Amino acid sequence: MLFNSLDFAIFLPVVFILYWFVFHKNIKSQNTLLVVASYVFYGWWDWRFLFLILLSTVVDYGVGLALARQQKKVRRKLLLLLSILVNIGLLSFFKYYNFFLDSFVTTFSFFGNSFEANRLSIILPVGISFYTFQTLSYTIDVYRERLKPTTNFVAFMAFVSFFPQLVAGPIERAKSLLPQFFRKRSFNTDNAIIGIKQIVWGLFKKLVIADTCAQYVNDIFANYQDVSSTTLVLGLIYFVFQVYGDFSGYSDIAIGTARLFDFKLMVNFKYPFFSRSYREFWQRWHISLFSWFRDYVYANVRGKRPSQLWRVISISIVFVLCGLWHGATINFMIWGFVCALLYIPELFIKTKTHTRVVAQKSFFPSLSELLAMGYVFGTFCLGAVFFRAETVSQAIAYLKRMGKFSHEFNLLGIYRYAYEALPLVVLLVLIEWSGRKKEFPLYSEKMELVKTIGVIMAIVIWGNFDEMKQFFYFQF
Amino acid sequence: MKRFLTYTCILLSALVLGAVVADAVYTYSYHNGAHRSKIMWLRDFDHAPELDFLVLGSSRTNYSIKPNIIADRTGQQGYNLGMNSCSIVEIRLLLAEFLKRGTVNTVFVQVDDQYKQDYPDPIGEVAWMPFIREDAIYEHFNAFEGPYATYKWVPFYRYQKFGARLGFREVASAMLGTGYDYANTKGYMPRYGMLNEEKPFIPDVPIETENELYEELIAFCKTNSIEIHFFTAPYYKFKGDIGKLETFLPNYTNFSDSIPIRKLFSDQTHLNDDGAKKFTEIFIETYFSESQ
Repeated sequence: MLFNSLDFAIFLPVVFILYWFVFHKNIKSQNTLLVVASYVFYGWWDWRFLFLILLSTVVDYGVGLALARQQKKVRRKLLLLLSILVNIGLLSFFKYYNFFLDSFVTTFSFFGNSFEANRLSIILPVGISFYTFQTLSYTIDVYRERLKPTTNFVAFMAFVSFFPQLVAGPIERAKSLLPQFFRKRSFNTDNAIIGIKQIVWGLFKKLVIADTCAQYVNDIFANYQDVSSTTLVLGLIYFVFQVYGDFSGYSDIAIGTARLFDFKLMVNFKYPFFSRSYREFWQRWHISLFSWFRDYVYANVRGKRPSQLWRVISISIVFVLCGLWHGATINFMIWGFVCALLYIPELFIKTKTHTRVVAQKSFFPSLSELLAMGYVFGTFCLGAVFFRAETVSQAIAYLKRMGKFSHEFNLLGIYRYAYEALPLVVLLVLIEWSGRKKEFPLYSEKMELVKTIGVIMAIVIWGNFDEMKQFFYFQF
Repeated sequence: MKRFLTYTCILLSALVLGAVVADAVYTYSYHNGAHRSKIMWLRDFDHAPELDFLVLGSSRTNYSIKPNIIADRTGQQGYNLGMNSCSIVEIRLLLAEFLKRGTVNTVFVQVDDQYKQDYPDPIGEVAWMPFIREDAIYEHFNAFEGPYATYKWVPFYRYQKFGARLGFREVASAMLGTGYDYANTKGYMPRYGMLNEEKPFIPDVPIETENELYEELIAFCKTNSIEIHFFTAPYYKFKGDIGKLETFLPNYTNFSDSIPIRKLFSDQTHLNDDGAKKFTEIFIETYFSESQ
């Protein structure tokens, strides 16, 4: 079920009413309702894949309990390995089987052997990359004895399948989300109103920004050989805002929806385009994924006292894995590597650790802050070409053509709407800039109703309803 | 909870009210703004035109026939009412709407590989949607399958659904007075650029069965004493089978191979401005020469 569909507009109030008016008397029944609602939410797309979630749930629940009983290190490691094998195995089969097969064939062909591989036409289960990582975090934390395993299967099922964040995150840590299924939830009006405002803001980013940009991005990337450098630059800017609007919009809707049920999910995007360094950027962009990689992969690969060289290598490995998480293509791996290349210089150059939001005490940023933000945004846009292009050669051809510095504005005639998204993108940046000190721009008390109604009107007028567009990150 | 429900109700009311107001503003601009489509132009005729001819069809008509050249050479007055993606369903409605405001002796209808389409075109119908609340237009579309009742009754739905073509940009342009000068060109729209590729145009499916909607159009013209001709506008290197059109349609002329010059096309199916001049000459020779 899509957040931006009529189905969800009916589903959410129904679950809300049942949750607070029918099943409100005890936690157990509320958790059961959440499990049922989550399975309906997911099964709306394809019920057959519910068995994968169930398998992941049963395995990790069982491994968690077994880890609690097991003291021997080797056996504990074997149990952890079992969980990793099942989760990563499922992910690898559904997401990476064809990719690894093709890579294998290419490698063999390189050495002069040729054979035909049997590619499988596999449907990628929506959200598999998200919920497998979430359940893995549970097992790893139990293994590391940072978390006590739960004996409540229903609560664990609800944790794995919690519908607001099931298919596109935020990837929650068991430590933070699981305990919320054990505490008494009470309806908090202020919190619920904030939730509604966050849903509205998420819809604005999705329907107005992401879906509008997507039209032009698709057009520009499909015809990149015929358009000017200016348009190609615009294509990359639109693409970055498409991804941002789409994914951070989804996260906002997810967090807002969770708030309606008195759950607190982690912030997934914190105004990433106002970052002054890549160190800061990765603490603001898709926070739940990058902190997952930092805590569960980087910490292990890097070791306790790494040399500078090993740090560089470990960062590269982690970013390439991050790229691969996004998709089973060489493009995503290159994108990951480009991100590593942009990040690594900051290991050697002393940069400020930015703990505060940019221009904390004034409205305008200083010139150095502006330049730093421009550098991060500009280079991130350039790297994003590998994220969007279908092949590496297309990405390189795109960049080459962009480097010709042609400014033929006659393209305005061909792509009638090519420059129309720009005012909307500028509007988003201005709203986000003025609200950068808050969790999200509508999170305020001053004229909050007027602001929310204004955003609703913007959705009505500029929202893209031509066809229901799936969220970009569903493909991951 | 009560405060939350009140808050939600306020937002929902604002949403509904906003949609109603926006619908009224958008509809007003389509009724009174600068001409963004030929339908707006047609509905706004300041005098009832008495025409010798009308050319109807899709973009292949829109970009192909220059009524001003015909008027200069032959003295015959007419309009090009070709509209992008206009199917036989929209052609029939366009003619009916025109006849409410003017008269015409002869209509030329462009037909091609899209002949078989017997339902409203998803793009061609869009320009009519601001006027769907008018009974004649609603009934015409509602005879076909589609959410036309929703377009008619749910405020602003049609403008949201077709946002890219009827949305804010079009309304703002209409309000700001940046319309198309159809009156000066008599409906012709120029297209520029030159075709770069040499590959032939191959339509998807050959024409095999008759489309009853054309019979209805012929009958409609007969009732209104209008002479009707059908023709196929030029393609660049056409490789399709439209031979059956000759047996299905009366007064049919096939011009599909009449211009084999690449530089006169902007793409395989559309002539550019120079191509339109050339084709209009051929058109005059065929239909308006003294021997005709």
